[in-house]
Amino acid sequence: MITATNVRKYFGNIVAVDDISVTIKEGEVFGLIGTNGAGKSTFLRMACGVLKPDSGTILVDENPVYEYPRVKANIFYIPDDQYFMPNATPVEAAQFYKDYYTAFDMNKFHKLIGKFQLEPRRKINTFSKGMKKQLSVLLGVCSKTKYMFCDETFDGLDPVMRQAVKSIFAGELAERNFTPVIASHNLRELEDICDCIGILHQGGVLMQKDLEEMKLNIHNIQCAFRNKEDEEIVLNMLDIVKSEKRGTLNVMTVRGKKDEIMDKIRSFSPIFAEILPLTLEEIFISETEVVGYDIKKIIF
Amino acid sequence: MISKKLFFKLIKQDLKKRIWCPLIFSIVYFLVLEVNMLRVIENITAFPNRYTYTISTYINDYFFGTYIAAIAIVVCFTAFVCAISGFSYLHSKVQLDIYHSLPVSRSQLFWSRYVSGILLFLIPFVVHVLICAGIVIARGEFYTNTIVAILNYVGVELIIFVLTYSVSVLAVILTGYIILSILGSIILFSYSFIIAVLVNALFDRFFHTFALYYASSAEYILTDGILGISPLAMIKRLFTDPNETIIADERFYKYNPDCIWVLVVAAIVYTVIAYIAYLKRASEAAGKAIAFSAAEPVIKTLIVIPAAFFSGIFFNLLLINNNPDGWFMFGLVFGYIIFACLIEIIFRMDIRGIWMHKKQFVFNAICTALMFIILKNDVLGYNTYVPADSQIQSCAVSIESLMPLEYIVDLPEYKGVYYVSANEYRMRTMEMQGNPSVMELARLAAKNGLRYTQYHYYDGIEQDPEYCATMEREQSYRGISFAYKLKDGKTVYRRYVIDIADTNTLKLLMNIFNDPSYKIGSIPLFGDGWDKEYNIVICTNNWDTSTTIELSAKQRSALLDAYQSEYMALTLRTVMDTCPIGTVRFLCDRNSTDTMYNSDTDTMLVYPQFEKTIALLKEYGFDMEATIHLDEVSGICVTKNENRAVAGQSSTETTIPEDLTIEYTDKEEIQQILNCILRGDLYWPIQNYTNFYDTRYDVYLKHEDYVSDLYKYYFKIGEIPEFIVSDE
Repeated sequence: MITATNVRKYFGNIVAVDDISVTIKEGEVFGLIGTNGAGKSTFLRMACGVLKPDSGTILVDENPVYEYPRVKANIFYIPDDQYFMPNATPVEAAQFYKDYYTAFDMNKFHKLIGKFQLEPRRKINTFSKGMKKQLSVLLGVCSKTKYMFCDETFDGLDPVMRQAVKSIFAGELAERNFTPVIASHNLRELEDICDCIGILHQGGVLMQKDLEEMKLNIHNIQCAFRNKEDEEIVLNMLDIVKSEKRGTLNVMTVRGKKDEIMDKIRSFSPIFAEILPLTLEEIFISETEVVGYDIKKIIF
Repeated sequence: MISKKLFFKLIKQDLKKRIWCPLIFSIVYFLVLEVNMLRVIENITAFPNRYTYTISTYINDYFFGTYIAAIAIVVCFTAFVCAISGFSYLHSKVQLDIYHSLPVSRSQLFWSRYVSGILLFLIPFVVHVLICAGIVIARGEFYTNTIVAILNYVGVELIIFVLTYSVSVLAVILTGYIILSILGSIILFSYSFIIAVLVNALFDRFFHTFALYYASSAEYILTDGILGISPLAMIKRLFTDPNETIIADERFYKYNPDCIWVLVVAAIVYTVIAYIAYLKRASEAAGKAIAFSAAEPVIKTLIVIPAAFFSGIFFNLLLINNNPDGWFMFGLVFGYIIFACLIEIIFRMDIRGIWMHKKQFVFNAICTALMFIILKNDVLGYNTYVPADSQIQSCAVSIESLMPLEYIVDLPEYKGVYYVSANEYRMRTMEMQGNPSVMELARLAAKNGLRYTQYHYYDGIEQDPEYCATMEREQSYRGISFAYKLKDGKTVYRRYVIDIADTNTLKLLMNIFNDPSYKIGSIPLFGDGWDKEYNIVICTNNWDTSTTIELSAKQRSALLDAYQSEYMALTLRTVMDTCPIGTVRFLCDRNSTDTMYNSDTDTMLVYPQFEKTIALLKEYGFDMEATIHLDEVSGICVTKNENRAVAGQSSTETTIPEDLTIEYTDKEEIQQILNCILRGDLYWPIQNYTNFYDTRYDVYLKHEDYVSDLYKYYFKIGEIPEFIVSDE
């Protein structure tokens, strides 16, 4: 389990991470989403021991990470911008990681690299960005670490490869104690794979919940009422995150249980009322909008 | 679990990654080692007469000895390359994200990189040295001492490498860009040395009493103490032969073994500092100019202020005769602005960053201005400093230009014989005590603060009334140096200008010169040479070139006693008023084959008052008072020195200019000239304290059919024959 408590990190006068407290349970896929500059990468770099928090603690399996090689032996970090040795080939890169990660599975690496159709003896610097990301994921998976931190790793993959990586993750999750932490802007992809989501904004955590629980507690509602009085009463009764009026139609994002919300609306006999599926992206936009990250303010 | 095995794996990884380093080094070593060795061996074999040494000597004493210093330059270069290539990953966020996320401690990362850097140098170097050894074996010149020489060679170069390497690694760790790492390496490598040069230059520029008297004192300032902590200073000291100015047999100086330990300790210290800095360096420092932001303003100050003063000195030197203070200030301001802006641009890598730190710009400007004001106005009283009598253990004085003979003396600290100037010898050896005139003159000189006026010479300056008045006024100015040897063990040097036209000054000066301890401290013959067994004396008089007299023990004792006692009684008044009549030079057995460099002292003057000495020399076969017979001189050549309008200037000409020369062959005229000429070389040691030589004419004697230019003669002042003047 990874436990971050009141973690802060400053870069000069800039607060990169502001009082983050997160818990990442073992065996779950944790998605870290956030606005640009929210501190996702900084948090991951602290969690894998690259950066030292200015205050607060990050414990991995109850041990500090920074300058603890034994703890770091359980973590594989794939940064947004990967680095490989100059002129190295995939096989040489695997050998490089094998020196550090004693459990590195070379057979599995050869097997996977074949499946992903990456040439083992080709120089990595001739690979495309996506191919490099594939290779990084394969290296991480074959390192057999308990935790794998992926920073924007999925963003450069084509849809087929994304599915392939997801299936590898699924296999690893089934096979062994594996906890991927994925920071990404590609919320649709995270939605498919993540068990738990943490939303970061301006260095702090807005919320951290299981994705299913999150989806059960926030809904997109479309409804229309016969008169304005009923509409006002209903809207005041609901915990609305966001609302928009299109003619007589109210489009709202509302917190609460699905049945409870619908019961409240139906008690006023609306002309029309239905619940629409809410995507992770909509949840993210809604949550960040509450704290002022309003797309309307940015675009208009 | 991970430790040792991983450590070696990391080294292996790093060696693989930087395989280009040993390849480049190998090419360089091949050229400077094997190729160079074969080239010289071939030359020695082909042209043995051109060389004063054999192949064996070349290999053992030069190639694996003196050549260490030359190879050290290459080694320093390899150290820079190894450090920058090995630790520059600290400047890359991308690389740091990988290396610092791996399950390896920073400590292991540091040491693996550090060791692999050393191996990158050492492996190819040793291979090439072994190839050289193979060449030596093939030539049949390999002896037991060759092994020792090779081990020494590799050992010394390794120490130099580690020292330079550790400093460069530190520079890379402290900085965030390659360009700054290179600059940082150069600065760390030589900072104290550069500052020592600057301090020396500033003191020389601003304090007219500043003086260095040991021939090696400038060297000492550059390489010792706090100003010698830079590797450059240490390496320079290692390879500086303290006896380099000695006139001795040709030999191959290798290095000073006493300094090796200084380098070893320094290498360890710099390595430890680099290691601590590495551990403390935050990963987010990648890409920042300076990894430790707190150090940034300090570094800027330490660079910008000295750079501004260097600029001031540069402009001052460039335009020394035109308002030097103004040009110094211009250089200071110009240099300050340029360097302050430049360093900001380098630190930010953005020209818009020039004014990012206005407060620091102002702060450094104020510091620079304050330092300039302090130096310019001598706020700290450097020029007027004279220690209290109670602080002084003893004092050394050197009346400059008064018998400034050069000496060869034993200097125990350098374990050998050293060639020193009169001033240096006096500053070292003289210990005057109990003569109140010494400190009185020092205080008077410091208070008066006289100095020579600097003029920009141009044709016709002699017509400038101000110039003439100044020259007239300063004609009686003389230099005098003091070494205040304090009770706390320190020695403080000052050089003053005094005016001997001032009665009180002259009186004090006479009291100093007349003091026997001044004479004992002035001349080795009366100091450490007292007990030496001089068995030869070379004598000259006004006419004779030189006569060598071999002395028996009894004669030596009698002559030395007589000369010493009479010299001790010599007063400055006598020196100023009396023409010397000849010279004596005492030589020892050990040097009797070469009279040029074998005396402990140069020629010593003999005055008419030295009656006992003159009598003894006459007894031993040399007449100091002898006159030249008219028959010995077939003619006299008199040359007018047109450019020597001011009395006291000496000619540097070595040939007799015929177009300005008139030859006199008439016996009567010759006799008249002989009656009023004095030998020139008797004059120069006392020229600034006498006034009886007229140097407007050079006079040469002609013996039979040749003109002897061995001695130049001058007319006595006011005694130039009429016909000489009318013949002009």
